[in-house]
Formats: sequence, structure tokens, C-alpha cells
Amino acid sequence: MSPEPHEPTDEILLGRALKDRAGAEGRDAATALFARYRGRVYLWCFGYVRDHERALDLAQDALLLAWRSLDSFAGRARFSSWLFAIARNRCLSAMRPVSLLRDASAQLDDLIDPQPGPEERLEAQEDEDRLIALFVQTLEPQEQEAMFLRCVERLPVDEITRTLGVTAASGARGVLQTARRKLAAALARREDVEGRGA
Amino acid sequence: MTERCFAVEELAEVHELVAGDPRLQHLETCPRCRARLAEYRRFLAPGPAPADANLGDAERRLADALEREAGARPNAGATLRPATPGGLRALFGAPAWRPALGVAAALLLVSVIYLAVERPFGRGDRVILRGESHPGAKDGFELALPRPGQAGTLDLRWTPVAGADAYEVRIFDAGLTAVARLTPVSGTSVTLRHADLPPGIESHTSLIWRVAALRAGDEIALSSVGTLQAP
Repeated sequence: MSPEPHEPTDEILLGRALKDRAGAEGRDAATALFARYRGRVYLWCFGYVRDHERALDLAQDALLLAWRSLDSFAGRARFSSWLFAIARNRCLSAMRPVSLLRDASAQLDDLIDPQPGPEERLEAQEDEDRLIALFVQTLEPQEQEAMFLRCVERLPVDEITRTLGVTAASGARGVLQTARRKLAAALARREDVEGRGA
Repeated sequence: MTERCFAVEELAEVHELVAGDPRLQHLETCPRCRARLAEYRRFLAPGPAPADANLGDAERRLADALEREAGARPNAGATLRPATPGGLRALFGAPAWRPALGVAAALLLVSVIYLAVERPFGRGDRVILRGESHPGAKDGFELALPRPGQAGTLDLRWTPVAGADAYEVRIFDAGLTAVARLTPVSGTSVTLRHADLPPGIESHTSLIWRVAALRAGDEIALSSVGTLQAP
């Protein structure tokens, strides 16, 4: 959805919007700029919540916040990644804390299994940096990314499949299952070593 | 991971780096940045809409909401929810204010707007995001002004919330990207150390913070929004 060669870039539209914020020209420029991204923001939010109305709520929150914050944005970053940061933050805020009953990707066996899985154990035991360090030590690159998206970014599994372009029939679920097994084994080894050292 | 991670706002630049750029070396060793870059690329090029999404309806209703926000069509048809009162936009959009807004003021503006969006849209009324609020939740508990602690730390305090068994302190940068979470905090204060913040955030960087009150891991209330300077 990049602008055609004859269309103004995001930065040009942004400049016009900021130059004449209260005027018709600025308003038109801002409207055109946001029109480029409103569908993307909606789809991004939809990927998180898998519900049309809720995705609209989140997308509207993000877009209106961005609209009202244009003055303070002032070109510190590219508009696209700035808006992405706002939409992402809005989705993460909405997803945390996540209970299994609210997690659209939760499976029935997740709901009835009282035992925390490796993800929950890791989250309880490690801060994010240590978690990532463990990913790097234990997992293949795609498994690292999938686990990061699932554990830290709270992305639904099917969205991880699309985001990472996983082509296997089982999608990201298979990648995550393999990663969980490896992490569980690594944690068990670590606990064993720490237990012997105590 | 020998270099700092990219901020989310930097992803557009990272996306456009050409092969051989030394900044790309960081990506090879950092799953966090690779995953976030993959997310950003998906945001830019989402592909076909899922079957259960309704992109056409979303485009129309979001356009309505934005147009109404812009004031182009003050009596536009039904949108998702009522917009924030126009007075806020008028106040902060007034040209006379802009020259006086420094970095701190801009941060405060963003945090106030953030709060304004969160409260009327998110929690203050009952038109809430589904599944996000807790029955009987009471929002808006207060933050105290951060005070310098020992050895360059910062003491953060807030008022207690009845029924809360823990708190989570959330810290955001000026772009409202979450940069740190301190959780669980058992009392109504916590000491923020420089080490609690991710690499790349220098001392005295202006940040935004708020606190979530938790009960059995569920969020039951959100504080007001405050600003602080990174220790």
C-alpha cells in the first residue's frame, strides 16, 4: 500500500498537516495520510483479537490517539512506524493481563490443565532479557521469533503463522510446540544444575 | 546482542536498510528485533483480510470517526462510540499553545491525551473493550510525584486500591511504547533503578508511567498517568 509515484509521500502529507493543523488544507492532508493506514491498523488489531467490533474499538483508539498527538510527533520517526507503535501498544495493553478465558487462541486442554506450561513458568521466572537469552541459547531462529511473539507480544498463534510466513501444515503451532519442548528440557536441565549447586 | 535493540519507532528505517549495513548485524542475534520487524512488515503489507474480518465496514466507520474528529462533519452518522469532547482537541490544538510546548510539556500532553482516550473510551464509562475490565473496577487512583531515592534511583508511590493484592508499574516512552513493567509489586511503592529500563534509555529521559492494580493477576483498576525522568 505504498503511495503511487505521483502521490505525495507520508512525510509530505505529514508536513502539510502540521503546517496548517487547524486549516482545511492541513485537515485534508491528515485525512489522506490516515486513510492510507486506517485499514492496516484495523487488520493489525484484528489479528490480535479476531473480533470485528473489538478490533474496531482498538483501531479507533489508536487512530484517534495518533490524530490528536500529531503535534507532539513532529517527525521524530517515520509516520508508519510511529503509528504502528501506537497500534501495537494499544493491542498489547488490551491483551495484558490475558486470562485463558479471554485468549481466543487458547485451547480446551489449556483451560482444564492446571499445570502451567513452559511459557508460564518462564514468564514467572525470567525477565524479558533473560527469556530472550534463553531463547537464543536453546532455539532455532524461527522458534525464537515465534516464542517471542507468543510469550512477549501475546500474538495469537495463527497470526504468528502469517507474520513469520510459516508454511508447514501445522503452522506456528508446530514451531511453538517444538520450541516448548526444547525450553522445557532446558529449564529442567537448569533446575537440575541449580539443585545440585544448592 | 552487542548493540541496543531498535525502538519500535525505528522499524521503518530498519526495514529500509540495505544489505551490508552494520546495523543489520544486530538483527542476526536478536529475536526480539527480528520478531518486531516481522510484525512491522506485516503491518505494512497485511495481505488479504481474514474471512471473518470486515475491512470495508472498518474503513467506512474509521473514516467517519476520523472525519468527525477533524470537525469536517460534526454531525456525521453513527461511529463506533462517542468521540472525546471537542474541548480537549480545541485546547491542545490551539496554535497559541504550540510554541510553548517543550519536551516535558509535549510528554504531559501525550500522557493527558492518553489518559483522556483511556478513560472515556476504555474504562470510565461502561462502553468498554470487551473482556478488559473487571466487574466493580474502580479506576483513577492517584500517583504521587516521583522522588529521588538512594544512589540515583527514583521512588514511585501511589494510593492503595481496595481489593488489590499486587500492582504493576508500567512505563512508556514518549511514543507510548511500553518500555518497562515492574511486576508484581506487593506494596504501594517501588524503587525504579536505571537497570530496570531497557538499554538505550538514558538518565533524565522523560517517560510516562501508570500503575495497574491487580487481583489474582487480573487488572482491577488503572491509576492516573504521571511523568518521570529516567534514573
